[in-house]
Amino acid sequence: MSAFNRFCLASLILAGPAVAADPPKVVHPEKVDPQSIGQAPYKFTGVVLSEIGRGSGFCAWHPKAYFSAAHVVFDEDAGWMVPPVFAPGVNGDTVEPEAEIATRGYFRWHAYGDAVTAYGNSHRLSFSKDVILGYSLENLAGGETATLNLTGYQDLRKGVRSLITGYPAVIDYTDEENTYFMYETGPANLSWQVAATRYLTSPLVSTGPGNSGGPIWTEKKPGQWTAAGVLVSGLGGEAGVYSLSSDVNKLTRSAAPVLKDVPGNPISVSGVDRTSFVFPMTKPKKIPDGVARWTDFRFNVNKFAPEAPTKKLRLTLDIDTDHRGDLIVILQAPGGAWLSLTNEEGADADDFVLDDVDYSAGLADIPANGQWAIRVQDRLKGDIATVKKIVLEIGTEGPETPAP
Amino acid sequence: MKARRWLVISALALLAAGLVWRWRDSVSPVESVSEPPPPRVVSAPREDGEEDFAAIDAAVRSKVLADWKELRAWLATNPPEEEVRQRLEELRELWVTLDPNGLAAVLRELLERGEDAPTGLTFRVGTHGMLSGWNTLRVFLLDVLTAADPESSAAIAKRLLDSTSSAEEFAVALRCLTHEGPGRADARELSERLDVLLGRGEWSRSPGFAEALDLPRAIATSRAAGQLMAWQGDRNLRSMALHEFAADHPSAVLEALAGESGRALDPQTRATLMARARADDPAQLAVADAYLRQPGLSPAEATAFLKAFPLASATTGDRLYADSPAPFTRERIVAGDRAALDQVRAWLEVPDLQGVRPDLEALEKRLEVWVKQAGER
Repeated sequence: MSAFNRFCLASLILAGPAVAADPPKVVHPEKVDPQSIGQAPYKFTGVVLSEIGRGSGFCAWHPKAYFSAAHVVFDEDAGWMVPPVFAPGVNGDTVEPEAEIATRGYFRWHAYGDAVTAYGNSHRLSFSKDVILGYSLENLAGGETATLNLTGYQDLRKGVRSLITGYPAVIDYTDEENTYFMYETGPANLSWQVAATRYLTSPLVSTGPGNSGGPIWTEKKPGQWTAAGVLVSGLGGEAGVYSLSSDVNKLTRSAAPVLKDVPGNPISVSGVDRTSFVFPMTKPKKIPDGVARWTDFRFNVNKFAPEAPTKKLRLTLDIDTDHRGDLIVILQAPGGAWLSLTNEEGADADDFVLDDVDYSAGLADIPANGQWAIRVQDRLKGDIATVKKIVLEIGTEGPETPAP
Repeated sequence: MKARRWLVISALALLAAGLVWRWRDSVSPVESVSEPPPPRVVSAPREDGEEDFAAIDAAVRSKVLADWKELRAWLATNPPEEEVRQRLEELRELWVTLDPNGLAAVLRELLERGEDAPTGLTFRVGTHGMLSGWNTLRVFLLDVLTAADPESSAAIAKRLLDSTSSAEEFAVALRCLTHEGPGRADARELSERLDVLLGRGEWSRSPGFAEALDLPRAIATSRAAGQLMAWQGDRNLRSMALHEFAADHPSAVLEALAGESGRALDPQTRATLMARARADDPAQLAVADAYLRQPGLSPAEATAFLKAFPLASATTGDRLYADSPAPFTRERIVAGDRAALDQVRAWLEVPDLQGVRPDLEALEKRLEVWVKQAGER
């Protein structure tokens, strides 16, 4: 067991005396009414059983995907092991084998820089990335999925009504332990504060060991619960969650190729997605011949919600030339990230043409608003290249990632 | 003659003023689904002379130097961290819209001046390798440099790489050489830079150094994998870098594993790296087969391999040089699981592998479930 896991366990065990001493002030876990287990949001919550222990998780974003805490499934000392089992909607003394769904793998969010920052595994910064997105080859919650609230980070700090669900292994005030009954902590309007980046803590809430990885739900509209974060720590009447923001796209982007049919942009209106806009340029423009300088075609974009991340990026480009190999073309996003579209490739072939090519992966998650640019150079003298047409389509998602 | 010279100077001054005005005011909306006006075409040089380039470069220089002076003065007042971050983000967003050649030239000038100051921010990599935290102003300049003219940036970066004593500067400058497109250095040069990086023991606790360990994955050769395996630094960092490398380029890592540097690895790391062999590739599966059958393989290492094989989990996040890791596809996983199941059934028949039979049977069971799950989709 890693220092991190020891810390989590110890801190949750320490929660016992504090809870017992001041029960009226602390929000305790309560058993979920069995009649409710099959309803949202409870039906998305599940037990996570890994080689290093038990925890909780929840199916969200995609029917074959679940979120949990990284320390539930990965231990630095043990390294990569058998993927965990997910068992949704369990409610009993044990997890029946037929309820267990084998998962195939997971993506753990980690930064090289964090590995050398001198804070150790139990520091609050560790919890700020203590999240995984796991995946299975079959549906995890009957084909349904919870909706992610990517403004969870803001909503929890605002005190939006929230609810934690999961499977605590030890309930201090009942002495019940090692069962698999689903518990809920809340609903309550808790006071979540930033402890480190996306890691928020709140006093006066006690969950229990085993609840790690379980969801914290927010209710922005009556009866509509969206997953706003992942429970990652507990400490003497205080809970800590990894709160969701557009940062979670780093995980969903990595998992998308194994899941397929990932939730796309919403409803289509008049040929373009509701959250997509098309930016065309159709007036032909000659490029200086044989000059190592750039000609920029700029698209100043301000149609989207502030900070809305780019999810869709498609480009149609038509450059008339007798020597495609003379051309260098770059697509640059706001803030400077860029993709090379052609780098003097194609020798003396005619024309450089892109027909609605998808570049979404290459520049995804960059704020869509700002200046986009197509940069063109014609490196060799001899023929004039003309940019005849550019159509850039940019799309974003709303703050709540919709279920498919 | 004199009057003509004045006319030329006046025309240049007007052009420069016009360009500055355009940068300040070039963000009028051009987008609309229904009535889209065309985008502005700016900084396209005239075809009849070099004067335009000189004027453009002069205007860019003037703008950047003024911003730089103002920034340094403001930073000296110790503004709050969040304000520093926001201001640097805004400045980068503005500067990268300037003419890329002019921008590269003025950034070179500023880097050569050596002016610098700490920002109070932690060095942090953001989306698509652009930084979201700059520990010094020079690191900020280098971050912007990667968005300037790629060839000029690469030339400037090479000079800096040869002289800097800062791990963060080294790490960010390398980005100009690793980006696919104009300016990308060849694998041999990048491997030489990797040798320099790994040899700088004094950088080992620096976030810039750690983030630069994404370099071998960007080089993607077995030589780079071998260099990383031979590095005797932080074990967890090395393991993470090797696993991200192996998930993206398993063949290169498997080739290095079979060599001397592979034998120097600890058994746990070697076993789980071997578990990244893609079973749907017969060549990679043959390497895994030979590995498991080798007489000297310890039961513990064999067990570690069989618990992880075929490994389809990974770390991910923002990386400096290559895209955020997204190494698996459903098709390859499903095909790989089917091939692995056949291979495990063959291993169960091998007398020399009966010592790890329980691990083989457990793996067979897992693979049967995964293959069934994929079939029932």
